[in-house]
Amino acid sequence: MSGNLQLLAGTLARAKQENRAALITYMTAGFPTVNEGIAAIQAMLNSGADIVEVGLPHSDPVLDGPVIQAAHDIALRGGVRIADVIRTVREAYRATGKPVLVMSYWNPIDKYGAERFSSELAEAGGAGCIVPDLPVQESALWRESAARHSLATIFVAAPSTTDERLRELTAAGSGFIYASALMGVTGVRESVSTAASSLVRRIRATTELPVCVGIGIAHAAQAAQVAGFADGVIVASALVKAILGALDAAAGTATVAELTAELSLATRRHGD
Amino acid sequence: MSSKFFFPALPGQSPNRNGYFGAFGGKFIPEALVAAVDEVANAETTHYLFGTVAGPHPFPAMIRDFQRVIGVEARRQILERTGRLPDAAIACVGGGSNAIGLFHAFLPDTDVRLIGCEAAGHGVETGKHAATLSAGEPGILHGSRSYVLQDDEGQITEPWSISAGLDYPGVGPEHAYLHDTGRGEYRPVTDAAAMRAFRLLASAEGIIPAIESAHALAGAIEVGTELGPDGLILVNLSGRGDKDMDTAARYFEQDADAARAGGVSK
Repeated sequence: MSGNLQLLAGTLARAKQENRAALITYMTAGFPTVNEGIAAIQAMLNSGADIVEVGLPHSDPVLDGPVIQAAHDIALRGGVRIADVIRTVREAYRATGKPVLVMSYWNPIDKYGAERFSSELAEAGGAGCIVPDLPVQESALWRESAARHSLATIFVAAPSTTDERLRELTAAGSGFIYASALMGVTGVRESVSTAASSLVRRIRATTELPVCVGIGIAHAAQAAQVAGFADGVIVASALVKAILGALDAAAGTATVAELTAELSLATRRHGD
Repeated sequence: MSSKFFFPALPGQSPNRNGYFGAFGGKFIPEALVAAVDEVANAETTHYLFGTVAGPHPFPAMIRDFQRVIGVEARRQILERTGRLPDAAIACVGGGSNAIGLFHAFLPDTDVRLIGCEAAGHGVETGKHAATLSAGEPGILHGSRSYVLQDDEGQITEPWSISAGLDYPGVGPEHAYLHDTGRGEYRPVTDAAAMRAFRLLASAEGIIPAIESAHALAGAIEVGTELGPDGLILVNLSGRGDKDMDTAARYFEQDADAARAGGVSK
């Protein structure tokens, strides 16, 4: 089976036709357990998320702030393996038919084998991968495997990324470009920095690919603001935090569903 | 330029650096790393700099260039004092900053062996060690590809060493290169061997080395035995041991207890 790059592209194109931004939500696989993680992801996709990112837990999540670090830690202590991450992708896709991405640091994929990982991700119905610490100039091998299996390779651009580097990222990337709203680690912030809109403008000057903005977006007002200038709004830590702070898994899933629904509404305010 | 200092209060290290760093406005706080990360959340105004030669380019090269003075001076001084270059230059390696600082000036001197002593903890075969080049494999950690200690799915594993400064599960990429090309030799040194060397220098010379540096001394004892009495060895005594007195006292106490109980003395 080949991967779902086309489904991802189609989902982003349809959101654009509907004059709204796509909502992309994140959850760490295996957090708090594999099955509860799957339930939370399915709840997000059933509550208005268009696309989901499944985090592959890592011992050294250098892009992530304390909230997602804690989720990775809990997942790894629970003994989560790459096979569990692939199963999470499979069950999320099978239950909803929506695009499912993996967000992973490069070392686990490199160690597992890029070809083996892409082939298993595609077979599970995955749509692509975000690998924040894989530099574009080191990515050829991964991109060949990903392309062979119809998986998107989504690069992260930061406000500090130069125009020259942006051209390299957008030429090599597929699916969409992940624009980091700020210079820093993942985590909830009170407001969206102005850096985000100018970064999106600079990326658009180099590519036709959709541009989705993440890092630091936590609530509906911020999502609505970002939906005004980006093709997609990415929310991660706020959702993970809802599960961390919940009394039990069912309550966590319910809160996640509620927050996703609010965020989804916010992305539709665009153009009102 | 204004600076803020965050110092982790490491278990096993006595906080006697407090006064020293206090003079610069620094404070020891248990949550130093979290506080520092919060600060770095604003990367427009703040850069996170490793203390070692790891991390993405250009940090390994920057730290090496800051550290290389020791090698330049040591090379000049040993020529002045002995009229020749050493047979071996020896340093401890965690991330590898003091070692690369010493080695760099000697890279073109191919007759000088460059020997890095890694922390073998309880022994490389026990899995409780930080001997990344001796027992690790290539992987990506903290933004660079080098040797790392990892499991079968690329999760970085917990290193162990009696020395807080050496228990890093990676190593600077330039050391990985020297290891792969054979220009550098890296050998594991156990906690026990390092502590024997620690005690030896303290009793023979009245110098208390850092436990990190004691790994280099233990390596020097081995290499000296190999070279014989005509050998000339340069050792980087990269730190002082007063910060390690609690750890050393605890170690030697347990060692004595084990000996009294009829165990084999380390």
